[in-house]
Amino acid sequence: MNVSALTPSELKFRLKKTGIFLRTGSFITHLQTSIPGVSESVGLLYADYPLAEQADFADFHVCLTRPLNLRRWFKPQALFSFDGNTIFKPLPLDQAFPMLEWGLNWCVSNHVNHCLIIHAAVVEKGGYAAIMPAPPGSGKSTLCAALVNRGWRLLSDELALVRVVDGKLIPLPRPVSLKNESIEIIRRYEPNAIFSREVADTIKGTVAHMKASADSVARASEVAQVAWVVFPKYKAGATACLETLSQSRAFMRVADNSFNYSLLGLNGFKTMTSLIDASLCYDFTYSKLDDAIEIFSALKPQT
Amino acid sequence: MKWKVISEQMLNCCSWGEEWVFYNKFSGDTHLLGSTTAKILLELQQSPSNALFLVEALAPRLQAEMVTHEEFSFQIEHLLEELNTLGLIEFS
Repeated sequence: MNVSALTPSELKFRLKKTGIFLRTGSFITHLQTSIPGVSESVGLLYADYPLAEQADFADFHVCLTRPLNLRRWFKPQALFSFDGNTIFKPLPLDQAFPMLEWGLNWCVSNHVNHCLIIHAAVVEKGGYAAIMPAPPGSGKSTLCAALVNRGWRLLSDELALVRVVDGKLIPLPRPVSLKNESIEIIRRYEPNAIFSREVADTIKGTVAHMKASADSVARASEVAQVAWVVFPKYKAGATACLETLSQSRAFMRVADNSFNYSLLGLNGFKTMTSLIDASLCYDFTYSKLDDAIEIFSALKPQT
Repeated sequence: MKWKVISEQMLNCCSWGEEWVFYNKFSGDTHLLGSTTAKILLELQQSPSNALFLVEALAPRLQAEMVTHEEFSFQIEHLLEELNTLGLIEFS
């Protein structure tokens, strides 16, 4: 059964009482909240996601609540808790859904160690995946959103999960996080894209989340083979340019963008070596999304 | 004075073209090394050696005729110091 099988009021009731067991790729999140805005955004953006049985194992037990103090009435706030423990400082209530998304990223990046985790977007087409590691502000999520609206499958817009045992990429297709100008750029680029409500004045500026395609969600258990590592960089007015990057330098830069490379020790080194061995590596500068799509369409895997 | 690799079992490496990436299991550090530095390290993995012997062994393989013997010796000694600073080699 998918989330969409529940009416808005059923979803709201279930989130408040027992919580839902939401399956996102390989992970099950037990989510509880009585915050109406979160319930509405979950209903909108997670409609295609399967619900696991209540008695199933959950990887993460997550709760979004409102503090039981004066803040209940004065400038209300939202609290994110993991396994019953408060992890982050409370945020304004209006930011509850973005907080949930950031919190879910935190759950994966801090608890999943059978994978090498890289701060990167991942998209796949024709059986081959491109990993796009980049710091915030590089246009990674904007490019990812454009690609998934032009036939690429979304594996993740934030976390590349490289399985240590065989180097395959595990999908984690969740809503794509966009901020500031990127929101309007993607709205114009794909008018049919579905967005959560815009939330202003967050630590990242104004943020909104774009719904992942139903196909990406349906194929969430289908692992992918990496073929390219592309470091994107948005530069206003620049002509799209794909420059070959040496694999050894790409190794060091991907390691810099990894959450647990050091933690995994020798397994991290070996997994990274396999990943880079299998990849053609590039620096990519772009300003126009159509040009970027064309260049990505022409990518060929290693022979 | 001879140099040796910290421990053969402690170093893993991979290479693409002329660049090498070494992983030190002792420290958990990863190092990107150029061709000459990597060849010194690989030579020391075979057996401990001094700077003079390394100069003689590596000069033919690294096209050292492009520089004088003194310059090449200085370069090798400088790279040995760097490898020592990185904790990849030590005195034998």
